[in-house]
Amino acid sequence: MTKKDWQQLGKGLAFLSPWLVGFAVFTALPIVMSFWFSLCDYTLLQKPVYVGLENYRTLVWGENPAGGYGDPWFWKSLWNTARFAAMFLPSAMVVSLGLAMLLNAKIRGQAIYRTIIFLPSLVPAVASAMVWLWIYNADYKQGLINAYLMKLGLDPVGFLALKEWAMYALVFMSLWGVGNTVVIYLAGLQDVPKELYEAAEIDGAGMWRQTWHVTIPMISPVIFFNLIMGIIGSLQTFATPYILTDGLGRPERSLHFFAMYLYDNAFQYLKMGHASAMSWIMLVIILAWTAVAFWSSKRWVHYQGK
Amino acid sequence: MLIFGPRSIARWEQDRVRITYWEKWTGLEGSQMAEVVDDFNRTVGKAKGIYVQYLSMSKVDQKTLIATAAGVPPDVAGVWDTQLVQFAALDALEPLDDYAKAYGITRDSYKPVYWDAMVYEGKLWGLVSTPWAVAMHYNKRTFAENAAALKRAGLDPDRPPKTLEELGRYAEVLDIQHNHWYAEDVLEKNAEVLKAGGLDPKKQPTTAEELEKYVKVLGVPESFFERETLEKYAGPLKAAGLDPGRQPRDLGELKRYLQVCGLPARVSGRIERAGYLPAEPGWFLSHTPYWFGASVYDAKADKLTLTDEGVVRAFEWVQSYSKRLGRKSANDFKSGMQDVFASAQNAFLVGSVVIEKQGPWMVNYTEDLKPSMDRWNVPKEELEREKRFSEVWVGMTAGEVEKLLGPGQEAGAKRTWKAGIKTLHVTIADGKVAEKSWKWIPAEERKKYFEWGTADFPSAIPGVEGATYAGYDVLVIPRGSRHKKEAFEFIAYVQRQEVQEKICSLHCKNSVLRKVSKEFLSNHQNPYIDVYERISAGPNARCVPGIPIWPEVNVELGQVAEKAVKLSQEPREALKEAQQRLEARYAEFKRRQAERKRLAGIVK
Repeated sequence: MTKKDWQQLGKGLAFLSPWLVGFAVFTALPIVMSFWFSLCDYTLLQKPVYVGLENYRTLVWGENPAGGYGDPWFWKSLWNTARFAAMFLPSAMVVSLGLAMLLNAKIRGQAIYRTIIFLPSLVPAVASAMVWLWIYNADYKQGLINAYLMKLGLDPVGFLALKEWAMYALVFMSLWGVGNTVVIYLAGLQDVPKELYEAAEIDGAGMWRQTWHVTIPMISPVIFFNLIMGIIGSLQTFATPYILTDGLGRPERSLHFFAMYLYDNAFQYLKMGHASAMSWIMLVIILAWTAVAFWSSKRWVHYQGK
Repeated sequence: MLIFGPRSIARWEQDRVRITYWEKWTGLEGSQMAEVVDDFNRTVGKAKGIYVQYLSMSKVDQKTLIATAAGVPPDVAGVWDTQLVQFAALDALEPLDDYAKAYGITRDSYKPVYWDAMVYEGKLWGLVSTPWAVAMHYNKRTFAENAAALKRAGLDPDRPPKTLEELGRYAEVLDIQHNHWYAEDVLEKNAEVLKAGGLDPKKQPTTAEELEKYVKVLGVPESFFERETLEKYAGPLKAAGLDPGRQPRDLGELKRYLQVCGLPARVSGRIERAGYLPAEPGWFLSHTPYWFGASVYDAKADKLTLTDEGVVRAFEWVQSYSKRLGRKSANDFKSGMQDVFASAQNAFLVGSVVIEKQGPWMVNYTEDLKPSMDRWNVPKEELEREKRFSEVWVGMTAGEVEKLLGPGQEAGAKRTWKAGIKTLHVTIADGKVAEKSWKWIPAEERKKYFEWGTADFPSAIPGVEGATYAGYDVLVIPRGSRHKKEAFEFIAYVQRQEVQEKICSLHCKNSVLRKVSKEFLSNHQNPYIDVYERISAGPNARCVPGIPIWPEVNVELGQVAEKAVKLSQEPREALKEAQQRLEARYAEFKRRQAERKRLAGIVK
């Protein structure tokens, strides 16, 4: 390299340096330290002591004197999270795509309807949880849903009191905030060439066949993007169930999510080593599911121009 | 930045050693503690060259942890009782023995339960800022309104229950529950027999024919007709030779009652009012074993004892209320009261629950959210006078005051009026109001105006009185504090009798010291503070167990309690599983701590 090349390189790095330093200090270093802590016994208040894979063993495969393998609360929280993701993800995609297609129709007040659908996604998670606590309240004098059930002559339902109902209540509540996904689908729907619909119509395709054979293949990249973001987001759910259950995951730990147990281990039980190990396990799970999604995308994601 | 940025501290503060004090209280409690800090800064702090910078914040425990880990802790932190031993075991705190000795602070001045809770592994780790205990609150008005029913059940409406068995009977009489025939666990236990008879064990009978079949298998439900129904049909029942004061006892009687009253339209089990429900508020369920003479941790043996018989009986007692009321009914009722404690929908304030276990702070909530509960039977004229007192202002003429409040008692320049639970005072100078103030009337007099009363929560052990769970907020010096001596100067100040009485009066709590003044008892906002003072000083008061993994133990006990309340697992089994899990965790904790000490060259 010539002197001028070195000078150019120097200037480029100087302009990049704020981002590089920020990335190194606030992202890369914490990731490396987190991995190191996952291999240590670390209480936050005492120095970390290397213990190898002890934390992982205790969480996942170590023999438990109470029976089974690993930490039963670790498996319970993982199961709750997987269950939530399995119910919420498909529902959210169907609901948001359906809403986007409805909002794509050229009707009067289209902008107003789009605003109404998008607004709930702007509400902070804490405020949203407080509102839903009121809506779901089991007392018919206070809970909005139960007040109407009583008027219809039905018994009140403890949506957040019984473990059989709690997860469904949370999934339904989470669907309220699909506004962001709807907007992304709407943008994708604008890109579908009208000529394809015209050609399909000429060939005798009705609304459902047009949707299945034209709309969905054409917006499959958008669906794929939302799927990946949905996997990442739903497996890391924390704020809403934490506020709804006061951090306890009640009723009977049915709403105790992986991220909540990670938080408990870190800041309540002062087992930062365990918490770090849990975060790396979640990273591997998310990577695995993302890899599966990418591998499957060859079959059903169609990019325009290919 | 220029307008709102940091300002340099006042010159006189620069001459003093500045110590930081982080505290959990916000809002009213936070500002009350700020008064104590200001008092210190004006007096002892000024004399000794110390200035306390007080910061009230949420999540003080986590912030203190992180600051301590980072090496920049506050000099004094106010944390919870549940964290003291945990922090001490992890070397997060400075021991205070030498400082306490130098200041003459010894166990002799303290109520034993609170001092002993501050000691872990032979060292003193903190000193209490405000302590409290729990006792039984009961609604005297509801007792009076249901006097006839209570007397019929052989109970005294003029006093609270004295044993747990009595408490259950009081609760049964005071419950208002819609038709609820067979409890869920009874249906589940007899599921096979019911199915064999073509009946559904998951629902209540809805027709007379179905009812007859259920009764043949399960017997007549203990409470078939609602009390209102029996009262409504009292005349026709008597005319038919039936007793409207009791339920039918067998199928034959039931058929005759049904001929008079008809089949109830709906069977919901919905609870309108619970006489008592252990799960409301449910904050102290983990400590229920104390009322059964048991504990979940044996400090001498350093052993968890969740499977001890007393502990099992405690949670079986908690479960018995759900069994009686029905799982769905009890849980829906409790769920409706979640997260409304600090609001006007508080279950005790609205009368949804007649008896509950609570701390001395409750009077703050009645006074703020439902002041009429503290003014039962106050003459209307005195109530009006209390309201009008806010219209008196400094500079008003004596004549105008008299017009507003009526003629008062004169003593020189001072005028006094009686206004229910308060006495109002105005000082007149030159014919105008120079000062106005009010005081509570003495506690013993005030009690008779309160719609609610406080008494010892009964114990399951005959002869054991004053059993209670004694909690506290504690001041600690985190490891790494730069001004330990000055920090302890402030902590020692908070331990003085007059300061303790001030902050505990403001926070509506009992004192941590054995000795309290008559004025503290008489002028305390809670007229029942003498109950809390007695039980917290007594031999049957217990604090949070001194085990370093208490947060995990507490969560497990919460699970056991929840499963008991929801009838999803028998307490014996749930406690056994919790014991196994916790034993493994505690063993791991001790092993890792021992390993640390070995690596650090400390031989235990």
